Amino acid sequence: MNQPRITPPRWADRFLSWFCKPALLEMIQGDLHEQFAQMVTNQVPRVRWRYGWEVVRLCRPPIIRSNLFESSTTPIAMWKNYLQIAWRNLLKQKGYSLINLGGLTLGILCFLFLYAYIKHEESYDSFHEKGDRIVQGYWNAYWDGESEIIGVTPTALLPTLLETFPEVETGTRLFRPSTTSFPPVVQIGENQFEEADFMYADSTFFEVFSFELLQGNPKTALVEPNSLVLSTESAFKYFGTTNVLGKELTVGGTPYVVTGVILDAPTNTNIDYSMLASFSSHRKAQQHSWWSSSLYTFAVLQPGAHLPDVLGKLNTIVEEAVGDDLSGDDRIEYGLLPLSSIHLDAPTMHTLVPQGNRNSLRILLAISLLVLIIACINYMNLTTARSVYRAREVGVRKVMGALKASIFQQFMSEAFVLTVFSMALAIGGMFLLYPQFEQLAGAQVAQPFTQDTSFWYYVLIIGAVVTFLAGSYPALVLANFKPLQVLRGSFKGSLSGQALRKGLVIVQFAISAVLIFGTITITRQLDYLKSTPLGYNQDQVISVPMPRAGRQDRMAMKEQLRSVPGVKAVGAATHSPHYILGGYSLWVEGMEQDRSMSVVAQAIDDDYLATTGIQLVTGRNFTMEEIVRSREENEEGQTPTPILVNQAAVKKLGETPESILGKQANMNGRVGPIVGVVKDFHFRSLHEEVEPLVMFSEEWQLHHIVIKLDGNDVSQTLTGLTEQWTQLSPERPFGYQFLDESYAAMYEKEERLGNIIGIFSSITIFIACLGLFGLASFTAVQRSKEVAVRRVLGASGSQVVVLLGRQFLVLMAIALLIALPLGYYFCQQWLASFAYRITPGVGIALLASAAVIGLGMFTVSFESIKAALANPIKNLKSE
Amino acid sequence: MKGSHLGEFEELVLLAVASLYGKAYGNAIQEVLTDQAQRPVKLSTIHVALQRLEEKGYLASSFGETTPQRGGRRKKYFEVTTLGFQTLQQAKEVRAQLWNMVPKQALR
Repeated sequence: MNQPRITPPRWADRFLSWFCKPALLEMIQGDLHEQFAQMVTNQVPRVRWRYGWEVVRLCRPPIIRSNLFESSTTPIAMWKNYLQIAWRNLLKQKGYSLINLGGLTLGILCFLFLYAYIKHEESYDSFHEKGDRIVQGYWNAYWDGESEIIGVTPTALLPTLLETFPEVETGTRLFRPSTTSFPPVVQIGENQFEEADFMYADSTFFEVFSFELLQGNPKTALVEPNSLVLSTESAFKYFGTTNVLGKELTVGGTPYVVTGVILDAPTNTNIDYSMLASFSSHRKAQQHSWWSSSLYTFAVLQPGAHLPDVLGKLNTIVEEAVGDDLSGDDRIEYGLLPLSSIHLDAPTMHTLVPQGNRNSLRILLAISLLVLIIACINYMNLTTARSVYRAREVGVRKVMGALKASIFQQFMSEAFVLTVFSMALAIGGMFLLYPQFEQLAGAQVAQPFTQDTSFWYYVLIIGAVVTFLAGSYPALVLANFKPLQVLRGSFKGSLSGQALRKGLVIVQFAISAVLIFGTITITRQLDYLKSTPLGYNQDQVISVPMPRAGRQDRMAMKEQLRSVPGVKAVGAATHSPHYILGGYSLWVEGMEQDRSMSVVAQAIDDDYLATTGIQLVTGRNFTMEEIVRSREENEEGQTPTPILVNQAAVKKLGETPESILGKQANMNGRVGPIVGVVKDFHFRSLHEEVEPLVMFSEEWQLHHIVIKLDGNDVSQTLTGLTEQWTQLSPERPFGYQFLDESYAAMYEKEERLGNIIGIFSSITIFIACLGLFGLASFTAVQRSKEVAVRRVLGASGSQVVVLLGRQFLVLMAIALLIALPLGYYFCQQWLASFAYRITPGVGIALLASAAVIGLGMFTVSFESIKAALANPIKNLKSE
Repeated sequence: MKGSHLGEFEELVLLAVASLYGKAYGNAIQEVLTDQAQRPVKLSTIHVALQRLEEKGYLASSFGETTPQRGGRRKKYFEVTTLGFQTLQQAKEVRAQLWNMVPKQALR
């Protein structure tokens, strides 16, 4: 036989010799081996397994030795001793224990919170029964050589999917009016409320999504036109009870009958609504169009459906339906994305609930890993530094016969004890700080303590990793002590250990410095965003949706609003100046006939420029006559309008402000002369460059009013405006927004990131300083004799402080040398997403360095000053 | 008196040891029982029974020779003690008496 000989499993033999009575071992093991050999010869399958099973079955009273768990030579008793010594040591060195405990607790706490957050982000819409089969429709538009992913879909998509494809089980469409227009207004008695989360849904809504109804029948609730299903929250809001079936509620002027109440659903969902109206109530339900996308389409696929086949066929159908209307290379491609991927992994597109960001999760994970590493380094450093004090103990243990492995086990168990304590503290801290965490995360995150068993596995894993990371190096160092050297009393700790300790301190401070650098950069950039002149006046300017009265007689309405004391000017436009949408193509005299330039554009009235403070470079504003004339189309079906362009448009056209004046322009059927050029202003967030902008006159497009207040008594003015408003717009409450607030809201994400990085960097620097403090006080004690001699020989106190501080200063300088380029690199990456940004230069680098060195030296100075002030006689006396 | 009771399986093992006179060690006992009793018996079960029987004083043991398969470990041979034979005898008599009490009609 060439095969290697099959042998009984070693673990089984070991196990047997552990539990078996020594007198029986030889006989039993012999019999077992004989049987094993027999079975191998007979080619019995799974012999090793059978052997193991026999051994396990032998584990019974007459075979097991009686002193299995009592003998003083078994590991269990030794472990008991290790834990006891560990506990005594923790109590003996309270200061160091606290430093270690604090650092580890903070590190673990960060990690646990991050777990909860990632879990939350990843669990979006996982609670639906058919969750893994639900897909959301989107389309990819390729216009003018650019592609764009669009999350809202046309009315025809779902009916086509249901009719053509047996693979599609069911589906539902959602239409949220506030996505494209102003939120609908709910009227109840005298009171009006804007309801941004009001949506229309197909009657199959409850077949697709697993939302439970507290009241009503899920099969019929959304069938009839003008039926309305409320969330529990809105049922309480409007009726004070959930017993609301059959009650009436007017939304957007239409009366609805309540047919159901939905039980509160988890917050980790893309399907976020306050009330659902039957889609049959909306005129869009009658449409079957492949244009005009405004619906969110969800479909449930049959188990095992092959998505690429469905998409291929679907796109052929779409091609037939819309292909003729597309020009040139333009094309449209539909796709379906798994619902579970929408929140984190889908491409950026418009969704019902803003998407999360996988990358920022990764960054957070990396940062909390760094925090944990810093905490572990603290433990490593302090324990190895202080190992001198334990050297004698190790020596004695070794002389008494302890093996390297058992010393290693002993010190690992000390790390373990500490980890268990910090774990417990971290879990307690997590429990207490949960509200603050949710605020920081900007979301309601389910607490993982009770329902989530994997959380506890995770806790165990972190515990094991931290114990190993923090404990293994010091344990190894201590286990390697030579008993003779140690016991002779000349032992002062190893030099190589010192080099490593220094290296670790450098790592700690480098990490902290990078984070501090980042915090300063983000703060500076946010300041910059807020203080950059935007080219229009955002102070004391409010914007409101155009009231109905304004559509009929805008002049009279403006006059009425202007009559309120404190109002300086009233203008109207399609959009508020902080965020202008709208894609158009502009043709200007002198260009070839079939060419055009894509521009952003909006309609304005004659007071808009004055109200917002947008300045003209040259030319003039619109006149009243021009606005009046733009009401009528000319013979060719075109709208005559005066046109204003911004400097960016002029530049892109290759003209000068003077040369472009008076030229004729045509923008999607709006024709007229360019009458003026306005100064560039930031009509989007500073992430984007100022693009070519056109402003024209077209009264039906004036959806917003902007009002400039004089700012003397704002609340008085607002009260006046509200009163005036109720007459002008009985159908809608006075939902105003200050421009500066709307503008600031665009940087919410950056603001949150800044906060989180800020918190993390304070934690890291705090932990690093804790460790430094421990090390510094240790060196101070180690060198106390040297200091005393120097003092006696005439060294001044400050010289001693410098002496002890110098080595740490060098370490921090090295850390900064590493950290600053890294910090600069990361910050450049982050800043790249802004078209307008600061340059992280020497200023920030100096500030970060000053912060790191300042905090570090401050920490060290405690101990060095104490050492310098100590009475040298005391230290010299104790030989 | 604790543990003087002879279980059914223990009785079988005891008889097997007796029948293997002089050659009764674990694996041999297992072989006999598997052949004669027509049921698969685990080695571990036999060892547990052997220990109980020895504790009760029905068996005595002594080390014997070894074989290569055993990795140099010696066999341990068991023999039935006088007490063991008495107990076996008693058990047999109890059975015989009970057999005698069974009416002829009951036997089919």
